[in-house]
Amino acid sequence: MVAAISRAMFVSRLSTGVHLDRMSPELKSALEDAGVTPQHLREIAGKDLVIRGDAELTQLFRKLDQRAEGIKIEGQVTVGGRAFLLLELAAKEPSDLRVDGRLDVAIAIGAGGPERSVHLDAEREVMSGLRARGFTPLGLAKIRAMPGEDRARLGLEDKHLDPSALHFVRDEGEGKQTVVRLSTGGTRALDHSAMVIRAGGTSSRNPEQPATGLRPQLGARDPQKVIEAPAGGSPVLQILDSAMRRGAS
Amino acid sequence: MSAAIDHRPAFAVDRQRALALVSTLVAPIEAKLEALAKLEAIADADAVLALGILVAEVDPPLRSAIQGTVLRLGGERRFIAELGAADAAVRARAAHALGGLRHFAAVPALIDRLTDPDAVVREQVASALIRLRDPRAESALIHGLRFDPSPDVRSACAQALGELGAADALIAAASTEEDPFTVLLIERSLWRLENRARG
Repeated sequence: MVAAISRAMFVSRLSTGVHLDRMSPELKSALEDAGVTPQHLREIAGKDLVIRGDAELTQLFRKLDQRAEGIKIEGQVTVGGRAFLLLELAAKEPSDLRVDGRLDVAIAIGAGGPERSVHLDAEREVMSGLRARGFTPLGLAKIRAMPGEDRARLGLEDKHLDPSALHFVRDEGEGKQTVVRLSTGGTRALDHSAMVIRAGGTSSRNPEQPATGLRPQLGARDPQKVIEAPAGGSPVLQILDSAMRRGAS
Repeated sequence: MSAAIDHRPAFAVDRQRALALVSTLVAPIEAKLEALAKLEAIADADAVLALGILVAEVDPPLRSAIQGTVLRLGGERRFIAELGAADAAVRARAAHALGGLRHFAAVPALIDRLTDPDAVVREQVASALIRLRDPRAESALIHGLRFDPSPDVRSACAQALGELGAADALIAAASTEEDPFTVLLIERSLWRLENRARG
């Protein structure tokens, strides 16, 4: 696979920073394969052990670009093969988003995208993946019949409930839960989620463009927690897996 | 136009470049269309295969152009023939491509494949029928929703019936379906139908 990524896009996509002490084994291994050693990373990160901000991320980008095997397309700096893979892995590294033991994830499929049948496939694929991961679907009637304290524990009180979204929960043990809101239209489900995975919208099909259709609707939410994914269910599920792994640590 | 494959290295490189450009996320539409024209000129069977996969994944302006290229290169005949292949992966790929191509002549062959022994093939066939929205498939989809052993296939059948506006069949299935994820997708299809009726 050959893909292009500009320095600005790289810095933007890693705006939450790369935390050296919380880096996943996959990212660590991909960086080492690309010739970027732990020593390089510590030098770039400095004392706080976090690579963030334009200057530090640019240093990391240049380190990777020295080893890039890609081609030039329309004047953009490009990387290919393993280097691009590790950029993807790094972009998917969320910080620890679990609050009071609960990880709230919203999956927005096709917000702003024109192709409905692609979204139906992605919706079905995501649900099949949630089934395989041991999630339980919660219909609105079932949620409304739950005791108040359970609804509060899961963040599913009326004020946080989006009737147009599908809700799923998984008990992680030790008092931890993951709550997934799957939305294929409205944006209310996104308001109360620590992390939004947006798949198949205009922006993810053209990553150089900002997610103009969605971000203004997020109001005061921190846009750093919005992750753009390619269309389709599989990329969404990979990001969800990564978030749950980080949330569990 | 000749459909013979040219194995000269320069053509192979051109083909790879054009395919990469057509599928890359950041190329402008004009560059993608130019790349498609080059692929059509090369008339490469491998390119037809890749474009058949890609056509189901892209938005309408590019999709129409890819559909035209694949049809002019005879891709639809290849994919209909591949629905009968021995390898289930080839059958699934063919169903995916025929859905993306919106090739209505393939509907009877797709309906036959709703009883394929492989669940992935059946799901891809139902997914293709979501895109085709052809009423001829309704009774086969109702049968799939009621009796298919795979919840993923039943879910795809529910979505396809939703696209056909078959509310009665969905309501009947909701009362007997045991998989809670499939029930949710049946309810979702009915909810979409209600929204559509409300305009």
